[in-house]
Amino acid sequence: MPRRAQGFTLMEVMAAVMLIAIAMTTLMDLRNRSVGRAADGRSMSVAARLSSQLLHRIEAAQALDLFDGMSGDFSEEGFSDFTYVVALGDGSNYAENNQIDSDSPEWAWRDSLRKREDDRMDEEGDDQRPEKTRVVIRVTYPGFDLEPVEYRLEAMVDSWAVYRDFELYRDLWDSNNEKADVIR
Amino acid sequence: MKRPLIKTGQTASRLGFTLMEVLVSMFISALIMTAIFTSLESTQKAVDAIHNITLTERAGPQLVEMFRKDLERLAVYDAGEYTLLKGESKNLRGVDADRINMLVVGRSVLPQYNALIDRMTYAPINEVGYWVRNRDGSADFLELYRREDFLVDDDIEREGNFSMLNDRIISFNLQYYREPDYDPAPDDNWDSTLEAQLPYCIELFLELEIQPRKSAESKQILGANRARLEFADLMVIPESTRFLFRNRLHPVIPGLDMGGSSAPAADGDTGETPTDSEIQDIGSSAGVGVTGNRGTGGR
Repeated sequence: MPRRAQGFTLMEVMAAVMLIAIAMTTLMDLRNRSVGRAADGRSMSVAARLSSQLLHRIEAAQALDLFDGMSGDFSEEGFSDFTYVVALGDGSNYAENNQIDSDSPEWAWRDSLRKREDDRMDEEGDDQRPEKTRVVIRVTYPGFDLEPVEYRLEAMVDSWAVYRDFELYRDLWDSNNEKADVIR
Repeated sequence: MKRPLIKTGQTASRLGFTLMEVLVSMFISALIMTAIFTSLESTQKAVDAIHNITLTERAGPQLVEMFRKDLERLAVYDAGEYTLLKGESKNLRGVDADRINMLVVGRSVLPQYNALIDRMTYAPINEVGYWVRNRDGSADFLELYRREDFLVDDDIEREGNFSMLNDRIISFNLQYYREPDYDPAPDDNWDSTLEAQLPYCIELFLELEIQPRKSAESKQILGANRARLEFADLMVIPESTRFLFRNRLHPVIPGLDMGGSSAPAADGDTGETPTDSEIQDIGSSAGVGVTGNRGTGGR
């Protein structure tokens, strides 16, 4: 008996090691995850910035050859891991998110927009461009766990800018320039 | 019964640890130390990574966003002499260090002491500028300042309070687009007094350098290790804003005598909010909108 009390048994040591191992694993995992979250958060803000930059380029009518389903990456800005897809208009496959529940407010909102667009087409015919065009930008980037993450930005942009229709632009705004000359 | 520390009559081995015991305990403590140091080191790496993240995503975009906010609040109404925005192309040590001054509506960032009411006050309209200058004691970097001058005086390009935005600027370049077109050629300078209009779009190029802390951890984070960062953004001035400016429209408050012909209609006895038609009546009777241009002499 006195011999046994002088040390730990193998079971005791193993249990202790086990406990330490579990604690260490949990801690390391926690640390990893917090780094991952910080990285993901940052990647998302980069994606938000890049997509709004792209949107600003479209707004300024400087996005060349913009068409539905146009895609590319942001290697020029130094982020070649970030890829984008641009979708135009409401009828596009990209414009409606298939994951949206048909009971959700977003679905109702999209549906009302679609109806309004249909009504306008019925009235004016579809040869005329709407004043604004829906632009949907989807930016995809690998997350910290290397699973792809998607960021979506949607905005209504002047149609003349989206389609680089400068004749339409002059139709809309040229009269102002003439007026300015008269005032001056 | 108390046990004596050293038992007499026992073997010498009971007096201390065996070699085996010491070795094992040293091994275990080495393991523990290694684990602690590894975790400390990787935590340090994580801190580095987060530091880089914060630095890269804060420095540039924040400046761009600040500039955009100011540009969105241009004081376009009633531009008597079309003095509103002046951008100059400048060079410092061979790199772009452009300067821009403009009039901006909105509460000033810095308050100013008003002796009349013995209080710090904020201006509702300011001269705002973005200026770049050489950084003292550094041949590599420039400093970017935001200039804010309380209210508006005759010269929108002088004086004011300067607050430093960043002191690790490599270059700061602004370009002005006149009209949207297929292949628009931007101007380096813009003076709204000469042009009598605003550019439809301003492009901002900003280059700055941060000091990244490099570590294996942060390499896993996309682009977190780049030191030199370039930011380019286009800022569109909406056609409606340009229209207001070109045509020098000025806002009037219905019912308020704007130095026009007659006094406002005196039907305020009800104290209720006037309906739309009433506002129109007040407008026509008060001769709203006949003040004409205010010519020279500042705004």
